[in-house]
Amino acid sequence: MLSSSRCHKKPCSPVSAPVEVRDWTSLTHDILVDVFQRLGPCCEIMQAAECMCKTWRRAAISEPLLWRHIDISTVSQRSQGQPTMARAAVDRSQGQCEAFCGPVDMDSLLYLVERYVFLLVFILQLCCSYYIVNANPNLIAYVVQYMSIHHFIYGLSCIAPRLKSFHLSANCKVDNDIFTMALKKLTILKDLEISASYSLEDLLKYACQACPHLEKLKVTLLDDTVYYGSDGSSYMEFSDGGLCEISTMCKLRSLELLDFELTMEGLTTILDNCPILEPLHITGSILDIQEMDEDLQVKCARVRNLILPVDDDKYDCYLYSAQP
Amino acid sequence: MAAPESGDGNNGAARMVTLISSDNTRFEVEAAAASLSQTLQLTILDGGGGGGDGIPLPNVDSATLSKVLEYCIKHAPAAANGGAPNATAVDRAELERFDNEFVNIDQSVLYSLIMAAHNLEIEGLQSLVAKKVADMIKGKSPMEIRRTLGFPDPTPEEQAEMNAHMLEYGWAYE
Repeated sequence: MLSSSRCHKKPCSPVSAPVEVRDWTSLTHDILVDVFQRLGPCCEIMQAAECMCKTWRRAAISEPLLWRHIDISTVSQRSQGQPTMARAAVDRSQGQCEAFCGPVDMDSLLYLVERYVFLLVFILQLCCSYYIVNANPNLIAYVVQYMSIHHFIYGLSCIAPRLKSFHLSANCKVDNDIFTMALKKLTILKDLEISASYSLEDLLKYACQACPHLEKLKVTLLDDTVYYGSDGSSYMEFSDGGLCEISTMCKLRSLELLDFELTMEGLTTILDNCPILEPLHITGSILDIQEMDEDLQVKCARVRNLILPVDDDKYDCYLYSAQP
Repeated sequence: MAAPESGDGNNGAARMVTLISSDNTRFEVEAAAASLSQTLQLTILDGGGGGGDGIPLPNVDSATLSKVLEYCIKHAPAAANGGAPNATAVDRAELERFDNEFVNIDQSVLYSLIMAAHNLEIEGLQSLVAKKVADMIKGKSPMEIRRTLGFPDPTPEEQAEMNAHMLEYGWAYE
């Protein structure tokens, strides 16, 4: 299959080449960035590559391209460096971060407050200059004092104005007002994934309102959705996240609601408002156990890839599949 | 047009160009193969490298150039088809097999290749070697990377600076 061409070595005045020192520390910026981009999750750069030498470190830190997709989800949450990595990675993106994926818990954020207050203040100043109209003069003092996951999210949304993809996994209750406020900054968000053990309240409704360009939405509710009242009593709270009031989502292709409490009204709203859904996966339970009427069945049949929860304790799911 | 060296019947004779390595070895190769290099493409289009003239490549030694040209010759037919959209699965699998074999080499050769690929701006080769180096680094600690790539030992100042860097962020060597 090869053409006729051949290499013709015609040695003329052969000079034995001196054994060149293969100095990996002298690779150019472009080559290093090319290699680093292929390393996968950015902790590969942070935990190894940039520790090699000054040249490698300079390339890693100074190239925002490398920090567009931040994934520290593989770093142990117990790792001391984990919160620092999240913060440093977002800083290094220089506002070009398009995707952030990583675990966030209160402990790591407290650690952050204790050790990196300076950085936090810097970020908040940055956020005020971006959103000068909304800037609250008391914000800096308030946040440093009560740094919490809400402010982390808010801060993140402020320093990453071009965020297109945001995956949040929170082990604590997230205040929906703050979260909604953050979402309002992320108007070009295309991919939102939330994994949390807290009441949804009207989160879905607000997410759809704030981010009309969403193409992918995934919400996972962790098992222990038990809430504690001010008197210490525990209660289970029903919430469909305002599903029945979501706005029309013309671009939403993929919707996953895991461990979700679905109502038939909610399902109808999804199918009516999201015309191009391809995968619609809902697991959990169906609250209003009633026969799905013919109209709804026809709507379900239009979705190519549909998984709905069964209305009993079985873990199986009904699978609908429309004819192509 | 001169007769082809050995008949491949591909539009008659393929135009040949000569490349001269840093240690003065001359390589005669089809213009189409050499043109995979963005750096050489314009010179070749302008008619350079033919006849008794050669294109000198002062930054590439003969061992590396021979390896680079092996890649170019293998990939030239597919590149001529515009990235071979109509290539058969067999052809693609063969190229993939070739690529895997091709980078199964000593780290010092890999180093020369990555430098040459960037120097000559051969896009496919740049990606191939960068991916290979990344694969060699992935999942390894700094010490392991040092051993794998044959890094020079750090000077005391470098070591101190690295320690300070790791202490500051406290994430390495968990």
